[in-house]
Parts: sequence; C-alpha cells; structure tokens
Amino acid sequence: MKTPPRLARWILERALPADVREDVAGDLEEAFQRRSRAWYWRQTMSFAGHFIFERLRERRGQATMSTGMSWIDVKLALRMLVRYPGLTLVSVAGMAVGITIAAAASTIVYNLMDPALPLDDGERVVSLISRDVRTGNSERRLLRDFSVWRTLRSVEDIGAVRTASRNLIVDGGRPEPVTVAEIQASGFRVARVAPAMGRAILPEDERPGAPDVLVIGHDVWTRRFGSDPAIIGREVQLGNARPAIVGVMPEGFGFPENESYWIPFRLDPTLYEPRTGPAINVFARLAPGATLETAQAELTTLAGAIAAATPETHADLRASVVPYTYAYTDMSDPLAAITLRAIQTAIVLVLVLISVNVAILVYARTATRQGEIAVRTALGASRRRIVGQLFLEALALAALSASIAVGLLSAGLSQLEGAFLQIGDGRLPFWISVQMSTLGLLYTVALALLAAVIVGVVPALKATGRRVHTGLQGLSSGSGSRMQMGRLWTALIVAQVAVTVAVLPATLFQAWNALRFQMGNPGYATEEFLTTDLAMDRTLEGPATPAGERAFRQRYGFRTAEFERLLESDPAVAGVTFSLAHPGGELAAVIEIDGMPMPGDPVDYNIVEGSRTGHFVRFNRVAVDYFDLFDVPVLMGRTFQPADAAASATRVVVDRRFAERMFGGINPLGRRLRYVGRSREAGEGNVALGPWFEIVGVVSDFPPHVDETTEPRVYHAVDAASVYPASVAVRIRGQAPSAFAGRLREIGAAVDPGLQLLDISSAEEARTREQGLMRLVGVTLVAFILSVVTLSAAGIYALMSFTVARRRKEIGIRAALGADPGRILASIFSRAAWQLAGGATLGMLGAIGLENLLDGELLRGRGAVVLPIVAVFMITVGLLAALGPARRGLRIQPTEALREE
Amino acid sequence: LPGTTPILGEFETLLLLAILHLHEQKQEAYGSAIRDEIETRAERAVPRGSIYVTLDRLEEKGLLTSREGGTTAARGNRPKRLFSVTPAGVRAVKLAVGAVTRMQRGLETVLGRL
Repeated sequence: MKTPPRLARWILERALPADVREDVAGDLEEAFQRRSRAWYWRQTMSFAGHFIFERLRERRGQATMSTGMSWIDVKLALRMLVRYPGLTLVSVAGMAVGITIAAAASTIVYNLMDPALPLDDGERVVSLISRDVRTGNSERRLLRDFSVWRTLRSVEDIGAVRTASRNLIVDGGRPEPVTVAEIQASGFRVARVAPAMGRAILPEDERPGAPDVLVIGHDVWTRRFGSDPAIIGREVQLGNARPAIVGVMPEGFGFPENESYWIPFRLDPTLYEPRTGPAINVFARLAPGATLETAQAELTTLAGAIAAATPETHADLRASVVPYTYAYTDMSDPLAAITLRAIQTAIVLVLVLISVNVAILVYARTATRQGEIAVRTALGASRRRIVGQLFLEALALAALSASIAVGLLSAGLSQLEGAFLQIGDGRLPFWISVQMSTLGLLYTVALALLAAVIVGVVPALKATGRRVHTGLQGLSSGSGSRMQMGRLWTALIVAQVAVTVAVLPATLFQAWNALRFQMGNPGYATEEFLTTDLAMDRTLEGPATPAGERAFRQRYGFRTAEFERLLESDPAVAGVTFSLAHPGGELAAVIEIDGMPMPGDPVDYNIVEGSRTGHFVRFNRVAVDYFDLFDVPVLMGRTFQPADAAASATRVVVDRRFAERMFGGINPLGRRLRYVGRSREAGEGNVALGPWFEIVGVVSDFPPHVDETTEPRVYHAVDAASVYPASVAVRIRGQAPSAFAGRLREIGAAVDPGLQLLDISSAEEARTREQGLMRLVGVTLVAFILSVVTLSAAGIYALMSFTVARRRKEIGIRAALGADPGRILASIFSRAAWQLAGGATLGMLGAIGLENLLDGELLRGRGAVVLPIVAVFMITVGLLAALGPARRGLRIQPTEALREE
Repeated sequence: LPGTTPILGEFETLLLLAILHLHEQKQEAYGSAIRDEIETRAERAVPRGSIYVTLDRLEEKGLLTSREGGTTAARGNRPKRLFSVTPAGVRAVKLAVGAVTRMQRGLETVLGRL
C-alpha cells in the first residue's frame, strides 16, 4: 500500500472544505495507488486552487461589505508599483535576491536532509550505519557486524554493497575505468525496480564459483553499447573477470547511489575480523509494521550484544537505522544536521533583514499618503480595510520579487547542478534533484508571503494607528507629511547600519576570496599538463594478507615503471612525474621543529587536530623530478636526488612560506622537523612522534598560496612505485593536452589492461571546473552585498527625507533670519551622522564579537583593516543618501515655510 | 426556488447523467467513479477539483442526495460519499437534454449526421 506524500496530504486537508474533505481525499488516495507521487502533487495543487477559488467566489457577496477587498484594490496596488518606480526597483531587486538565496539554500538543505527517495515506498528504505562516538567518525568496515545484523526481524531484504573502480574493455577497445557496485541481490528487491531487459542479480550469482555476471544501466546500454538489442549474453572484460551481461536496468535507476554497473557481492562476511575488511554500505527495507524506532530498538539490543562480545573494537561503536540517504550525506551526524539548519535559518534571517529595509521604505511612502488615508477613513473605510489595502500593495511588491526570484532560482540552480555534476564526476546521487521543484516553488511563495507581511502589515498598522484627523488637518494646511518617523524607525536605521557593518566585512571577505581564487595564478603552465590518478584492478575475494599486499605492490611497481618509460619515449611527452597529491591538494599534518618551542601547551598533544598545538603544515610525497617538471624555482639549497627517495631517507624540501613562517628569515637549511602523530591511533594521551627529517632545500610556493590561511608545505621524495594510488602529471608539448588523453589510455592499456587511469583531465580543465563553483559563490555574495548596501542607502535616504520634511518650517525661519547655509546643513547632517556613527560602532563591536566567537575564522586577522573600511563606507553611503534631502531643505523659501502655518 | 426546475449547465448535465449510468450498472456513484464514467463515455478530460465543487452545488440545489459509503485501506480508511439523483434532478436532466435535442432539430445538415 502506497502512502501519498505527507506534505501534499497536509496541504490537501487544509485546502478542502470540511464537508467534502474525507471523500475527496479518499478518492484521491485510492486513485494514487496506480499513480506517481508527482501526480498526487499536481492533483493537490489543482484541488487547492479550485476550492480556494470557489470559497472566494462564494464569499464575494458579503466580503465587499466587511473586509472590503476587491479588484479595485488589486488594481490600485499594481498602480502603486508603477507610480513609485524607484521604490519598486530597489525593493523588488532586494527582495528578489533575498528570496532567491533563501530558496536556493533551502533546496540544498532539503536535498541533503529530507530528500524523497524516488523509489516505491521510498521512505521505508533505510541504511544501517555505525559511528565511533569517541572520534565522531562513521565506521564502514562493517562486514562482521553485517553478518550479525542479518538476523534483524524489523527489517527485510537487508543487504550490503561496496563500490570499486574497474577497467571495462568492450570488444578489445580502450579500457575505461568505471565505478562498479558489488551488490547483494536483495538490493534490487529493496529498490523494487525490475530490469528493463534480462534479469537483475540473483542470490545464486553470489555463490563462490558461480559464473561472472554483470547488470548494466540504461545510460551505459545506449552510450557504450549503442542500444544493442542483443546485449543479453554479451561478454565484456571487467578488471580481471569476464562477466556476461545478464540484464539492463531501466533509465534513471542508480541504486545504491549513482552506479551503472552491478556485479554480485561475493565477500563472505564471516571471514572478517571485527572492524576489518573493505568499507561497505548496508541497506534494508523496514519490515511491515516496523518503524525506524522499533528497528532502532532491535538494532541497539543486537549491537549491545556485539559490543559485549568484542569490547576492544566495538565499545565506542553505535549502530543506527537511518533514512536511506543519510549514509551517503552524513546527515546522521547530529552536528552536521544542526549546522545545516542553522545556516538555513541564518539565510532566512537575511531575507527578514532585507524585508525590514523595504518596510522602512514603504513606511516612508505611506507617510506621504497620510492625507489619502485620512480621506478614505473619513469616507467610512475601516482600519482593517486600509491595512488590507496596504498589505495588498506589499503583496504586489513581494509577488513581483518572487516571480523574478523563481527565474533567478531556476537559472542559479541549473548553474549549481552543473557545478555539482563537475565535482561529482558527472553524476549526482539518484535521489538528488537540484531543479526547481513544486516544493521549491511553494517555499518561494511562503518566503514571499513572509516578506509581504513584514513589508506591508507592520508599516500599515503603524500608519493607521494614530488619530487620523491630524492627517486631515495636515491635508488642509498643505504641509504634506505630519506622520512622525518614530523612535522605532530610528532604532531600525541604527540597527540596520549596525547589522550591515557587522555582516558585510565577512561577506565581502568571503566574496573576495571566492573571486580571487578564480583569478588566482596556478603557478605553472596548466595549458601544457594532463593529469590523471593511477590505480590498478585488484579483486579481493577474502581478507587481505600481508603477502598478498606485498605481491600487489610489487606488481604495481613494475607496471608504473613501464608506464613511465613508455610515456617518456612518446614524442609528444616532455616529461612525467608522480606524486601522492596533485599540486594544491597536499595533505594536512602537524609537525614540530627541533629546538623550537611548540606553540601552545605540549601536554595537549592529544587534541592536536582541534587546538593550536604543533605547526599545521601540508605535505606531499613527490617523485625526484617533480619540481623540475613543473619548473618550480629553487630558492635555497637543492631539490631531491635519487638517493633521497629511499625508504630510509630523511631529507625534506620545504616551500618559501615554510621558511618565512617557521624561521622568519633565518637560514632553515640543516634544521630538523618531525611529525606529531594523531593520538587517535596511538591511544589515549599518547603522542606518536615520527623520525626527524632534515631540511635540504627551499622551493618557491607552488602553487602560490591563495591567502595567509593556507599552510606551509613540506615535500618528501619517493619513487613512483611507493605511492598508491598515484597522482600523475604528464607535460605535453606541441599539442593540446586534452588531445593526448586517448593516447594516454592506449599506453596504459599496453602496459596492463588492469591499469586504471582515473579522472584524466587537462590541468586547465580542472582549474576551470573549480573556478565555476567559486564564481557562482562570488557572484551570489556580490549580489547579496549590493542589495544590502542599496537597501541600506535607500532606508537612510527615506529617513533623512522625512526628518528634513518635518523641519521645513524651522529651516525656513532660520534661513529667513539670515542663518549661514553651512550651519543649517550641518544641523541637518548631524542627526544623520549620529545615527550612522552609532550604528557603525555597534556593528563593529558585533563583528569583533562574532570574530572572537568563531575563532577568527571569518576575517582571519584582517578585521583591523576591513572593519574600518566598511564602517567608513556605510557612513559615506548614509551621508550621500542624506545629501539630496538636505539640499531640498536649503531650497525652502522662508516665505513659503512661514505661509504654511 | 421550490417547484421550479433549475436550468443546468453542460457539465452539471454530464455529472447527473454519469450518476444515472452508474446506478443503471448497479455500481457505486462516488467521485472517482463518476469521473471515470464521464471520461470513458464523453471522451473528455475532467479536472477532479471541478467534480467535487459541482457535486456540492447540485446537492445544494436539491438535484442530488449523498450518503456515506464504505471504506477501504486503499483510501486511507476514509469513507466514500455515494450520490444519487433526486426526482428533481431527473426532471432537470430531462429538461436539459430535451432542450438540446429540440434545439438541434433542423440543423442536421450543418451539424452532420448525429
């Protein structure tokens, strides 16, 4: 029995009138059994529309008398948009940006936290995970646990899956590394998806010695096999095996994550020691009648028994049953979930901030219409009606913003999806949809309503709350606005400047970083390099043994040497080098330097990661010719020699930043450093100290550090065979690197069909890929900054206008009495200056507080420079906004001002 | 007003006819079934929302009556609402269908063979 989407059902029940609710909802649920969730959503929306419209139509008769909303008001509201184009432009731009950012953030959060699994009865599909409560890390070496979990009664079709990279060779063509899911047959039962052709994996395929079989995805069937109708039974080379294709899954099927190749899972869980073996994922479906809670209770009992039997490995492990996707998005970590929710809330608060700004503007406009409001009241309009009309005007603004936001959002989301796809190697988990969804649309509407309430109702209540006849008096004397810009609004202006000053520097700084990263100099000729990650097929049918490991590494060593030799003999290749990580992707570590005190308390070594003990560095293991191939200049000493690559060698090369940071200009050559191990492996309170390494050379920063926050680098020499998997950089001459990709694969295949060349890309492409995402971040932040600054300026402008308008008479009299224009101007400006300065001071204090709270993460020590700049900037913007009203004040003719009395 | 037979809209007529059909076939006349009946016989798509709104209106006019029917698990244990046409409803349908039939007389050449 399928249950309809909960949110849709909730909306439907609210939209339906009580007398028909039961039978309509029942009919719909009955029909839903044969239909999709999307269908149910469409029906819900169509019903909601119908019944709300019908209710409005029925009420229209009495409605015009009481609340009095009519088409005239709607028309009036639309006309206001046109009559105040400046206000419309500023508010709509601001709110559109705010709504877009808030809705985009929510789409991402939704996809991570509560995505609907697009499988039949998807909410009952679960993952069984385990987490080490001491380290907070998730534990995926679960084979042994899995062998026990299989006895659980509250879940059914429990199964295990692991993914591996294998070389696929079709008809003797070029090998292509593909991701293969080794999955138990129950996976296909859990997903409840039948193959489009042939069959899925069956339990008998999992028996040792059974013929090798392969099930492929629809995309691969069309792209790689030309939609061959006779695909079933065809044999391909997959790693060391030669499976026959037995089935094709339908389009869009990507269980467990986004795979297109499935082979049987043949590891015997009972052979593995606790917490050993490969990383696996465990999936299942809740048994009929079971819930997450009952399944969790049963699992907790079972896990308790395991922990009692093997306390040395399992004392800190907590097993849990979670919604399926949590195993992949790490949302089972409560901290991650809270962080995400906090970010989402913060972003919605930004929208509130923007709306408050717009509210100030709208209030200012309402003030100019005090006369109109008074007349309408005199003619018998109730307060409710006037507030309603002002709300409609705000709604018109919000609706316009929301429709622009929808446009921006769908453009932005497809950009985002593009960026995600690039990062995710062209594939996203099958349940993620970074598209404009019904839910996203609903959320946008809700945000727009929130904005409209802030923008419309608050100023309207304030504007109509006073005795209106003063408005009428003001009207008759022709003095324009008499409405007070109350203390509340002054406070709001101050608060707004404060918040802007507090938030802007960090945003500015992050935007600057994002954009600078994009413009950053890679430090080498990226247009000449092709990079790839080198691995080798390895099929383990049981636990790894030391002898097996040695044999594998030896074979890998031979293959690498041969690969390098063949590459270097190719006329298009200028050179090849190997390293543990690609330039810029070095790994983090903590070191201490001989004869130099450790920063922080040495007793706290065991919290090395989170505290400031030790020096944070990045390290890389590189081939001897690494620096030569990338043309990295040597500043002092020397680079590596072949002898430095021996396993027992103790010589390291550091970069310029290392020399400057650690030694401050003193010659670092000959000084020693060692690694401070993480105590997690070494045991409570212990510190694992590595051997000493001697610094023999200093090279220039490669690639250049993006800013002060990136750590200095340490390099070790290794021979190519001892890094696995290896990052390979090939320097190409005389042609575009991407044109060499095919040849690279051929060479790899010639060495060994099992040699995997993963993620071949030109260094230039890799750079563009990263830049795309950073640009999106940068542009979003800049749009946000612009809208905040514009709105702040507009809010201050409005406030200034009214302050001056209220003081017309005073200014006129002072001018008539011969007061110096400069002094009048000064008195006008002084009020603005006080508010601005007050706001700026509060804002700076806030920013400093925030900075301390986040351990200097936001501004990274730049506060002293950035904060005053932003404060001065905001004050300048405010004063400029006050300039226009001030000049208008000066132009008041004394006679005119006096006559107004 | 009591005593007078209201004039039906086209969709209202189709609804009443569908209910009469279902009764003839000894089937339950509830929302989904009525819709299916119209879709198969009249060969046109019917938005669900308008069905319920119109059924309500017809009931208010006294052309239909409804009572609570049985529930099934597939409906989330919600009861069906079963409709039947009142004598006034039958009169109204006759009137509407009769009017259409009379109106088309003499237009056979324009409308083609009906």
